[in-house]
Amino acid sequence: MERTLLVANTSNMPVVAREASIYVGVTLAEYYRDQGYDVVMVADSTSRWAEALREVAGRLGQMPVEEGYPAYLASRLAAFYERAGLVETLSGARGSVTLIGAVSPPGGDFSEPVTSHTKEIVGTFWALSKDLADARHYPAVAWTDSFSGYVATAAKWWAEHVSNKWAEERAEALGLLVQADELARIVNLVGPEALSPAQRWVLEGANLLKEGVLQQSALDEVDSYSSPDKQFVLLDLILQIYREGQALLARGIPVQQLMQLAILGRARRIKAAYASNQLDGLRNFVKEIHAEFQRLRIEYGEPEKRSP
Amino acid sequence: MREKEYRLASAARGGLLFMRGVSGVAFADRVVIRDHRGRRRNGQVIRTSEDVVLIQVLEGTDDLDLERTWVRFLDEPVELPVSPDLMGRIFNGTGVPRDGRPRLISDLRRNVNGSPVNPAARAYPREFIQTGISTIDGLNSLVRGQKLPIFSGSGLPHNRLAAQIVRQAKLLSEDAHFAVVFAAMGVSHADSRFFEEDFESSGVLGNVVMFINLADDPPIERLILPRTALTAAEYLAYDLDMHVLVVMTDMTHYAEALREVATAKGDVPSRKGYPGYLYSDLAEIYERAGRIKNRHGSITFVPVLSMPSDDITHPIPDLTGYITEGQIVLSRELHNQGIYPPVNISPSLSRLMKDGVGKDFTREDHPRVASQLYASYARAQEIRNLASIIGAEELSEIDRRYLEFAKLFETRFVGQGEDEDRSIIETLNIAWDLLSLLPSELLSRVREADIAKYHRWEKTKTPEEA
Repeated sequence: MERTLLVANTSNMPVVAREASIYVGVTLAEYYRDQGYDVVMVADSTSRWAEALREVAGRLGQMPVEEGYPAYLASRLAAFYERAGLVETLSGARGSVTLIGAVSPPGGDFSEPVTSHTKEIVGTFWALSKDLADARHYPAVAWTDSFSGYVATAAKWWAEHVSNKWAEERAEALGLLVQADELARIVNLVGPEALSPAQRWVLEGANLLKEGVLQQSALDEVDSYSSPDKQFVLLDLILQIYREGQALLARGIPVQQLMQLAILGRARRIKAAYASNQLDGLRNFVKEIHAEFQRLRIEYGEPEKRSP
Repeated sequence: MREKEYRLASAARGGLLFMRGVSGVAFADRVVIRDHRGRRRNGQVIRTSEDVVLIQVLEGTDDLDLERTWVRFLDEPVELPVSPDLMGRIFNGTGVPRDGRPRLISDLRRNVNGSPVNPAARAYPREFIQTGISTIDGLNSLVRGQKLPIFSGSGLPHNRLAAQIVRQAKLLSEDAHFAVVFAAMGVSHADSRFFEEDFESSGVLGNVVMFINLADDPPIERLILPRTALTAAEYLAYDLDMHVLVVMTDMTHYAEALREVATAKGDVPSRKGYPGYLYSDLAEIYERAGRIKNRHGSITFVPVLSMPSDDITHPIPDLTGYITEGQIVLSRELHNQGIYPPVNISPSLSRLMKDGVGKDFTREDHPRVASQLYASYARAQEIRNLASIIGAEELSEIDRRYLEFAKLFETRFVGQGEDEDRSIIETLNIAWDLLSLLPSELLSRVREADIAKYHRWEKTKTPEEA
């Protein structure tokens, strides 16, 4: 809280104050930026701000355009977001303002004016999905609709601080999720029996990723915070299970056998068992995974060798 | 007092009186109108300008003869006299008794518009309120000082649910002074009777203040009614240290009255003809709920609104959802299956739940069980969709268990009796009974310790064995 400035404008305060508060916030951010700080400004919610614009425009009798918003909505949004950036201050220091704007489209409709204009300007977009939220998958960031223009920049940081495998594994995980979404559509048409064992393992792998890595519980003191190191260990752990399983499937082990492994249930919950400073526990679990798959390999390895 | 009286309003249109050449009146001043038969009506100044002053007449402008109508500007805001005698009384929107008993006499009068609360003076709501309803307590817990609306549709039992909440709501920790402010806007005589009789038979009537505007009462009065009701609630909460539950039904009728007046005033319409300031206006009402630092009382607010044609993206539920801390959504589908209360858990949400449940408030596994139920039910819904395409026979053993889980979840967990007051522990135990239908490997939201303590997979039988 000592490093936080809060500009609060509750919904029962005058509407013009709501319109102004976003500018007050970003001006404060720029003030600290000019002193060489890296500032994050979170605006919650820009939709309420746009609504205030609409309300004031209505009172001024201005001509409504899209859904009652005034014609200058897009340019106002752009002017706001463009105040983010990295600067060299007059004293030669470096400061920055990062803007995180929440957009809350009515009924989760991303085609409405505020959302669509915002998406045109911003560099990164985290789409929160209604389906995920309904399943209480928190944080409900939809992996397919979201995008980031800075993956390559972030990859450099991960390589330097955590692991140089991050970029590769991120791509692999995203690929798996996209593939699973595609397969889920097929399942909805013809049922799960139509899938090959390898495809069913893809679905299982994606599920493990969703539940074991992506979903976090804000209510759980352990799971609510995951350090970059822990994030990577978890991601790596799930992908190792997936790869091990893939290798076993190639050797003819039935997919049902893999799905019944008790270790999968534990992998789903392991994130809540060890905090960010107890990574050894997670690493030991990786060893257990390898031992378990090794056991299966031996169990099924014998008959395969005997066959011609 | 600088009261003035004028005759010869220049026009009357849709509940509004237009006066010319009136000076020295203030925005939101109270006005008394005396028609040609000498009957009094109440009004409020809603626009002032150099030439025209606009008065909103709460009882409507029907049969006003402009020639013989006297308009008296009272030079005071609209006020409600308050005293402990409010309890057990029934008023209309302007605070005039409609129970046949005399007016309230008090030297304490409060402006019905309330006063804005400094955000820094607000206390954070975190005391769990047990409503005895599993879908609310278990999955979307209500905390003291929260505003949690019920989104309903025409014909759904939102009134019964609201009455059940009023009857059963209690705090687990202490026995505190408890009061209910009930505000009804545009409800039918039958609904109003239902509430009165329900409060009477359950013995809470002595703790209830009712503000009622029936469906055939003047609609303009609905604009002032929620403000009057909340003024009473604020008095009970902050002057008399009571914990007040405000139930307000139906906010849709309020918004419609607002639209009616806005159109008559000539405001630029925004979405669906509602004025652009609908959001700010609703916020003025909803934001009066809450807790204030250094005051013992609290205002917990449960507005009920019916979604026109069950559309949750309609401006009224949409804007309401942004101001309130979550919502309870009723489902026609569950209602048609005979499940009461038909709470559709997927879109329902309580944003303040996370701070009011768990170890020190309810039970340590509560937040995780809630999350697990949501996750498993969502999965079961997917499987249901699948089963409707490929048939239930094609499903795997596990998938059929999910179907069984979904069915029992709806009948045993969501469904309960109208007089059934489940404790939170009972609710959580039912939840674990249901989760025990699923193998523990599929439960990713709970901890190993929870599974060891509450999950009874080994003891339950598979559907074939049973």
